Amino acid sequence: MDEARIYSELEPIFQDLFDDESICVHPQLSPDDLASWDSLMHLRLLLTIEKKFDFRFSTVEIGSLRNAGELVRVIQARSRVASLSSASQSANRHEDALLGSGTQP
Amino acid sequence: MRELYSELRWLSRVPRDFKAQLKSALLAQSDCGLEFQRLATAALDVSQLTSLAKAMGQLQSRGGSLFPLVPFRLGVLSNGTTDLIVPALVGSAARYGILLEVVRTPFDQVVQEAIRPDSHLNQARVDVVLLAVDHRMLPFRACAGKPEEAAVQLQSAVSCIRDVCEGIRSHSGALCIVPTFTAPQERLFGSLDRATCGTMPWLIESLNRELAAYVMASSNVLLDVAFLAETVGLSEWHDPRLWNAARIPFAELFVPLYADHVARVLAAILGKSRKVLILDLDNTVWGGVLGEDGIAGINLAQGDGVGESFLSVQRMALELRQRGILLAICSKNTHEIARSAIQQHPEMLLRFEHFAAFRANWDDKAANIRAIADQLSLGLDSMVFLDDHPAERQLVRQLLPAVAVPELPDDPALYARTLAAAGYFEAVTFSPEDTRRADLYNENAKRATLQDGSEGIEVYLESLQMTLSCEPFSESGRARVAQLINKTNQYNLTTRRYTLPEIISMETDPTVFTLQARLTDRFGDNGMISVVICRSEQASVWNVDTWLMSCRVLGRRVELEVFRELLERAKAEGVHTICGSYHPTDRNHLVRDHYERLGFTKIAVEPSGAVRWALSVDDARVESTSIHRVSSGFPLVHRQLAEPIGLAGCAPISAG
Repeated sequence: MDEARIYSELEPIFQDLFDDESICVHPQLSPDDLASWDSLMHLRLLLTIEKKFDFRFSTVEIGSLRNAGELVRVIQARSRVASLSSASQSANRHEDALLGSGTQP
Repeated sequence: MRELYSELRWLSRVPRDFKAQLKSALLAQSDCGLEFQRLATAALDVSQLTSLAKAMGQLQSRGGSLFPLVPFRLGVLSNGTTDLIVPALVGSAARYGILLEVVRTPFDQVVQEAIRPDSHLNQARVDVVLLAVDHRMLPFRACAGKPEEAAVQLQSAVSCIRDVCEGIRSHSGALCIVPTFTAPQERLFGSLDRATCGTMPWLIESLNRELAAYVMASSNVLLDVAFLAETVGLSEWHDPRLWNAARIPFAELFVPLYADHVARVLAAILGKSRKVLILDLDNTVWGGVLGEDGIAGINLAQGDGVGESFLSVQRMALELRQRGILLAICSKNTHEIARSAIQQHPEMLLRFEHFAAFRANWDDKAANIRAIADQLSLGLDSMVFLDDHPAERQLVRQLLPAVAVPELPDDPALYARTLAAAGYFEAVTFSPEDTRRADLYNENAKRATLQDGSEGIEVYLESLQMTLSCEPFSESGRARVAQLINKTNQYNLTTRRYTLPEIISMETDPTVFTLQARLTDRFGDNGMISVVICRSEQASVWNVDTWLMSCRVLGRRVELEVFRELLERAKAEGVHTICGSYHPTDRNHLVRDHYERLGFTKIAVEPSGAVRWALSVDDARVESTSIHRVSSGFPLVHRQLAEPIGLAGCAPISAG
């Protein structure tokens, strides 16, 4: 799953959780930008992301992630949903190659 | 299958436009309690419950009304973070028609808040306190193989919880909801832990057993949190990351489940638990369609996976009936064919006589359920309707939102489990009367038949050979008194609810007169059916605080005989004026003219709609009845008659 896709998946999560439809998720978005982004909301945000992307943050990550950009990097590295979709993409490419209809990666 | 519990699968799915619906509910100009209750009846997750609670708060802060939700103040004590559960509790309580106001206490101040008379909690006048605590508040250290030390630890844990409950009881009068404790997932030995005294699982198992006994003996309320954790799995329940990072005591995923269980218990305390299970027949009670497959074709076979699924629904219905839940049938079938299938099919566990009401016809199910409610003299909010057919469920939900209609999975093997998971019949007390209730309703059916064939009501009532036994409140009757006070909606003049401790304190309060009445007749014992409470703020005047009667003895002039007893007691105590009031609710129109019929004089109508009545004891006349009355246990005092002070002695109606 590419970064842009993850950002677009995160946006409704933020908007829903912080009850604010004007939130735009960008790499620098941090607790400084949202008054209600306190430690409890931070935790709820991570728990919601865990459900959505099917992986678990470690305690170190829970304590250290500070902005949306860092979040997205962890999601990209860890998400089972993200890796499943990229795995199936590469499988498709492989199949295409075998059928001779795709370009070699 | 964990999703059944974590996602509250028996509730309807959350509509896609939930937030929009919430917004439009906020714009309502009039009472919008029912709209919020409807929104709460979907399977909301933590975020949605929080949004709902927030919206309810906004509405109230700008003066909006959430009538007819019933206001209730709940104190929460915890050794962890309660930020997740508090809004979830408010949202879940709305599902049960309760407007919950939560009084929070500082983090990890459980004992201090409970035992100090001037603590925030004890000053907050809450109705009930929820102990949202877990094993980490207990003074437990594993001491495997050291029985003396284990016994000491166990006793100190029991007395810790007891001190908390008793502190709250004596300083604020509130009941406590006491949890069972969940053992941590990690074990010391493995299997041996359960068998070795002093290990954590051993300590917690022993504690839970002792707490359950203490809670029942002290009339507090038990919340079996350990059972919830076992149901979804300890490894999922405990999330060490959440505890370490934020003192959140269990996984966020289960917050809606926990909150719904707390709300059920609150509803049970308020007498809002359901009382009737209405069953569809085809593909709900048996496999197949009777009208097409015939009696021989429907599936209830032992040893057949599908047949056994339906038998388990029947078995659960029977067990519920044995604990006092009424059963009814509402099915699209021809009456005679349905009836003969139930009577003749050799593998049916449920039989015709188990049903308090039976509607098999081709009318729509909402109309039939309404008819069942009328026949049983119970409200629609007492009904649960179990039907495999999504369209029928949808119809009933839409036309009769007060009826609980569980969603069912496709697989009938899970029907019984889903019904049980929904917890519609939660109870906080259980009395011997409960086990006989379903039979009582059947006897009522026989009486109704007799009434049809009798020449006039007088002959009928005479033929019942009724005896009314009157007594003051007593230890043996108090659980049933509490039940009547908290469950009776129709024949109830003031609909005041009291907790068991309040009822116990009335037994010895010299300014309170109490009466419980039991009725027997030739068909059997109807059990305790009427309660009267009078308060005398001044000598010689009684204010009737509570007068209620079970609807199953309506139309038998029992109230007249209760009134005669009341007059005799009043005379014996030197009371010359009895004041009563009628507080209208949407359920008690039945007793609007109660005092007028008894010869009281109307003295005032309050702005709230409450009507005050008064009667001079000496002028009272009571019609004769065919009921034999027996009175026992009342003190035989003949006090000096005070100077008559006229009807003006009646105290004003309190806001409650």
